[in-house]
Amino acid sequence: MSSVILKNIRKSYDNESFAIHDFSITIADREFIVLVGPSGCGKSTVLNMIAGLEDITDGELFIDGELMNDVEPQSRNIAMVFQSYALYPHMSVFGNMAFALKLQHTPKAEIDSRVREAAEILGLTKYLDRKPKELSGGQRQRVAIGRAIVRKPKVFLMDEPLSNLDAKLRTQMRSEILKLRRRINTTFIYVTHDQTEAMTLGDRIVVMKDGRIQQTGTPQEVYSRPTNIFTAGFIGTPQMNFLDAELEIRDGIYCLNAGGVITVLPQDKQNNLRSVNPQPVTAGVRPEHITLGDGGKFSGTVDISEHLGSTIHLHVSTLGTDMIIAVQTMNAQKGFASGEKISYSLDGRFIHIFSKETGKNLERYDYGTFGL
Amino acid sequence: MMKADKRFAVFMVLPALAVMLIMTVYPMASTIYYSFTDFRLLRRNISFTGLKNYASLLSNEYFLASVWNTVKFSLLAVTFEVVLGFLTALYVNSLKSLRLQKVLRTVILLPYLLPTVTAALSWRMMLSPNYGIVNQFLAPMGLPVHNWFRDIHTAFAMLVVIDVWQNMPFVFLMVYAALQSIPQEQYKAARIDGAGTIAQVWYITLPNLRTALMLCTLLRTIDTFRIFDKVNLLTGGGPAGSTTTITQYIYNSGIKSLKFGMGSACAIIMTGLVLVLSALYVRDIMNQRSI
Repeated sequence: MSSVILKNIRKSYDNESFAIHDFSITIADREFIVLVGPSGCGKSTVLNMIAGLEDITDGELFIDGELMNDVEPQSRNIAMVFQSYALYPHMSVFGNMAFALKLQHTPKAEIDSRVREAAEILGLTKYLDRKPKELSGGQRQRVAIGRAIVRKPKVFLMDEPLSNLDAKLRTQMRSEILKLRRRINTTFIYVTHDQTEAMTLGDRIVVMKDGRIQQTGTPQEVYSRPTNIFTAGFIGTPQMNFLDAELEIRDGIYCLNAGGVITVLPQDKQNNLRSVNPQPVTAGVRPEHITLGDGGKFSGTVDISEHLGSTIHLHVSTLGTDMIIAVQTMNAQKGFASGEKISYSLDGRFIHIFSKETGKNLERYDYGTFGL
Repeated sequence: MMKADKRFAVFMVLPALAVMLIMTVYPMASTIYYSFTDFRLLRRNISFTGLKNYASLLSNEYFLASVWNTVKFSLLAVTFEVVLGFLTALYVNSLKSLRLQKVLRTVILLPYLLPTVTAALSWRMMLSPNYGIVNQFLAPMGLPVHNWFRDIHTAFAMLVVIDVWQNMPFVFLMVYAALQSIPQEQYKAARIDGAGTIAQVWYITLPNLRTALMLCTLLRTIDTFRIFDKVNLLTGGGPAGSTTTITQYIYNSGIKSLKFGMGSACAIIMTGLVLVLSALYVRDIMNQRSI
């Protein structure tokens, strides 16, 4: 068992303001959890507190059921991979990977076998004698991961490990991390600002902003049922479109009035919105959930058309705002010119309704109310 | 077009080249030439004497003593400067208060900012046997009072102390700057790997500082080999030649007695020694860079 429990964790650097507020989460044994959020949201601070590299101002941290607040990093049985790799430049790849074991006075033969085993997993065997300077970015990151593996940690912490790699290598390393996870099968806590990494790697993701948890859930939950405007806008590429609208009840049925166009909300939304009063709202709709077509109730003008290969992103002026519509290239009958008039329709099933006042999602789902 | 560009480039470089030739190459070539002659300033005839000056110097026990004094001075001063500078930088860098770091940085640097003459004269006053503050502290405590610069047992040590006091800040500054550039992630990784404070210094700090420490050692070695002002002002090479360094010897036997041929040979030997030492350090630094 190597569960990690954070109970009401708070972090302050000046005893006045808090960088992390009441952070609570239970991470199950062998779970892959991703902390995601924009720069400065406190995700790395949380990771450093779990690692013991930063003091916990308030709250409790348990690893494997044991209170860890005052335990030194080396005694927490964790390993960490850093964004900058943090390799020791004067040591060889072997030296880097063997360093922790050497400090633990592990017998030489065991160090040798464990390092070679990790190097084999990561395809580093032929680079063991090289210095970090002689390796590519991807290889260096593998060494950093190898350094963590050899310790056989209970918890694997990764602080934006792919951020220094180019896009192609990042995709490759992402799948390697997934394979590695299957192979070593331990608890992973992964920090990233890249929502694609979060969505593809995590069993659950924790969306953070300003030191607070915004939402915790599986990638699918966070994508399809965002608790607030921030999460809705942060998760998903291109980001969700937001429109000013009115939530109305007509003949006992919830409808959305956007720019004078009435969209009747489907039955599940009627249930989720029960007891919500009619009010001005922010309606959110993802670019991929907008349907182009002559019969559409909404109209707009194409400003820019971005051809991305499999999809076309249309930047459209409509309803007094700019919206992005994602069109599958194979469904597009023709190209789109700037200034071209288009009509489109919104599918009520995929419209998210947020309070204009608080930014919270007004829908109540079966498993409870989302919210801050 | 290319030719015109080239001509312009040569034209722009020429003044600097001319200054370098006049100020460096010409004196160096002259010194080498004079070292093979019996050139004396007050004598018109200069005759070529081959290696006579060198042979005479290498069999002169005063010169050999001055070489030994210089090597000894250099070894002691550089060792203390590098060790103390490193430890001080480590301490200041470890302070959590940035304000305190700034204050200490300035205070520590002060001796280095003083002109050598000012520093030497201040120390001469402080160590004066008659009115010096040091002896006035020692006397009431029943400790022996010294004529620090005239006592054969203390004069050399005093020169080392003063040089360390004045130049340790240089090492401090270089090491402090290098310390700031060590990525903090390396320390974090080492802590997670189980390295304590001493292990972190040994496995992270020292290897990362190696180039800076080598550079400090090289520059300080060259500088201490050329020490003249402090020796000349404070001891003049005495007592009994115990503080005579090579430069002081050149001054006494070459400049004062106007034997420029002999002085030049002496200077060439000193340059050779500095070059050999520098080459060793530079090779090490270059090896480091290629890692």
